[in-house]
Amino acid sequence: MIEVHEVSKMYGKKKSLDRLSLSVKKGQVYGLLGANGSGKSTLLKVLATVTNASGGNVTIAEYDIKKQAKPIRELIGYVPQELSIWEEVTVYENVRYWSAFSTKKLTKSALITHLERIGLGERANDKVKTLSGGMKRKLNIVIALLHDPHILLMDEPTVGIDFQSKFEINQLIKQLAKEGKTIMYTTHDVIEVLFLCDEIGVLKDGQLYYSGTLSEARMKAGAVAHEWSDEEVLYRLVNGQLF
Amino acid sequence: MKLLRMVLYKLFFKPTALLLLFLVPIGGVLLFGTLVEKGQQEIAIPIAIVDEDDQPFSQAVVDHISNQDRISVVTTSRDEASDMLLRHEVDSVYVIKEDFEAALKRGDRRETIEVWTSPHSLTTGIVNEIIASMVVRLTSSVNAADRVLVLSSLLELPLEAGENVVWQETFEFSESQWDPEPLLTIDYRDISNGGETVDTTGHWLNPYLGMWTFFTLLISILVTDWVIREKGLILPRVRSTFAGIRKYLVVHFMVYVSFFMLQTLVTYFILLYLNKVEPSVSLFVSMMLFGCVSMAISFLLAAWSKNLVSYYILGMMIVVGLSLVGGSIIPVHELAEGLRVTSTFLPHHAVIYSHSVSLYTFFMTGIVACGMLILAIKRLEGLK
Repeated sequence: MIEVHEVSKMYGKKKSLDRLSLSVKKGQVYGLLGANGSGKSTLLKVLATVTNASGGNVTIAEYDIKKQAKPIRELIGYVPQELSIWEEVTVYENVRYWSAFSTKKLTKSALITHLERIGLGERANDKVKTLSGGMKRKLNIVIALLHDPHILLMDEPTVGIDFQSKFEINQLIKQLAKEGKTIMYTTHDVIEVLFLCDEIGVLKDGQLYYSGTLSEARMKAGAVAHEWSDEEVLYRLVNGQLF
Repeated sequence: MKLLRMVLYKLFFKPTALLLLFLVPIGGVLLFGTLVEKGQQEIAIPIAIVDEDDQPFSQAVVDHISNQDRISVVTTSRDEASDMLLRHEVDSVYVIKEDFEAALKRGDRRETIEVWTSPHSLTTGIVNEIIASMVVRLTSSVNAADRVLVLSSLLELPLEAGENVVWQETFEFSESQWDPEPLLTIDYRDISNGGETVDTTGHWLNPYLGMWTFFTLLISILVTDWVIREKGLILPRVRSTFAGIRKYLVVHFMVYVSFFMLQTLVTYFILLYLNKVEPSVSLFVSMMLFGCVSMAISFLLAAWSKNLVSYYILGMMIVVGLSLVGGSIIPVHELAEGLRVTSTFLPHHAVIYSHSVSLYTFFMTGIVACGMLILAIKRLEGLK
């Protein structure tokens, strides 16, 4: 579904992605891990057509990202790390505004259904600035779902929120995965990785350090890794100390 | 259409922005324009006219002087005028003597107007010229009418309507030849500048148009601050949507420009109604284009500004700077030579001096506005 081939991205002289290649299958939940500055968000921005790669090729659902960005944009739902919402207007107005950017026609009841799905139905008429951090995160996510995308690109969707909201968001992601959506997801939360991801990719200095399942990583690390907990395996992976 | 509805809804959701867009330019024009106009009248040189004849000819002379820039006319009695001159309240006094009209009709224009001056009088020479030109005009019209009667008598043409009616009709026809362009004009030469003829048209700035350009640009800067507010968080996400950032920005621009055009239309008709401007297609088009250019400048500035503070500070500098050089606040001819040339390239100039604007200027203004908008969109599309 997503094929990344030798993609590089430069910000001035700084290399954020360095000839990175990976592939994500249809219906998979793919967790992107890595230390801060490893290139996770940059990769998602490239895939979401927010920024252009400096080199390499990307195809999404067989569309070339350089030449066919428009159909790709209708296929993807991007959840940026920052809250991309209008604070001064209501929750409902936010989803109404954002629905104007897709070709899909959504009625008022359809928009309310989207909000209810993530537990924001009762707050539809409240101004966004009165919502808690968790609720704002939920709204940030639901905006990406309005046009029913096949692929979700989520950049730390649960960062800095309460446990309840985090749990509800993770349940929603699980549900979306069951519906057959392909999800690429960045996080620093180990529990989320274990709970949600079918496969993980670990980035280090803009390069792919590892891609596969957690058990495959453990096997690859050898006998010594059998004694380690999942958390420790992930810790060593992210720090580049497993292999 | 969905995006257009969304942008309109966003705009109507903030009625303050909408009110600003309409009320500030119109209110500013009426309030400050009136104040500036009053100020201009106060610094005009006052003269007193005593109209002892009080006939159409003498009234025509009074009206002609009253229409001159930088001269304010007080019509009063002989005694009061004398007192005013002694109190230095007027620069000079002109007494249009009784029998003025009858004398001109007799072909006698000597000693029909008395001039009282003081040693401090400044305007005597100029006003004398203006009055003389009016007297010459009236006299020539009288001569023309007399000539027609003489010729009809010599040729023995029957005057069925009667001599008086024919005389009056000929006089009026002769007078009508002075419009729209006068048959006789006065050239003022600047001795300090090698005797070069001074262009006095528009010397006295129309304060209403000047204030309108100032407030329209100011408001366009203020209502475009949404670009800065959305640049960091909203616009990157917009870039990942099907509609995309270009469409979003263009729709915004079109909506705001439409509202500016509506505001321009309202302002234009208010100024027409109040007799502050003459009906003019070139003025109307210049004002419409000014709205587009103002929005394009604001978009460009917002695209390059890092934050709201720098945007507002730079915006104010641009508004004041362009208004000063463009002639919104002070007449362009009072600027230094270099600035005077620069001002002709600014959109303010096209509005304030619309009588001298060519089609080429309109075309170039439109091109520049489009260029600035494209640059702004490219910049916002390219931001990561």
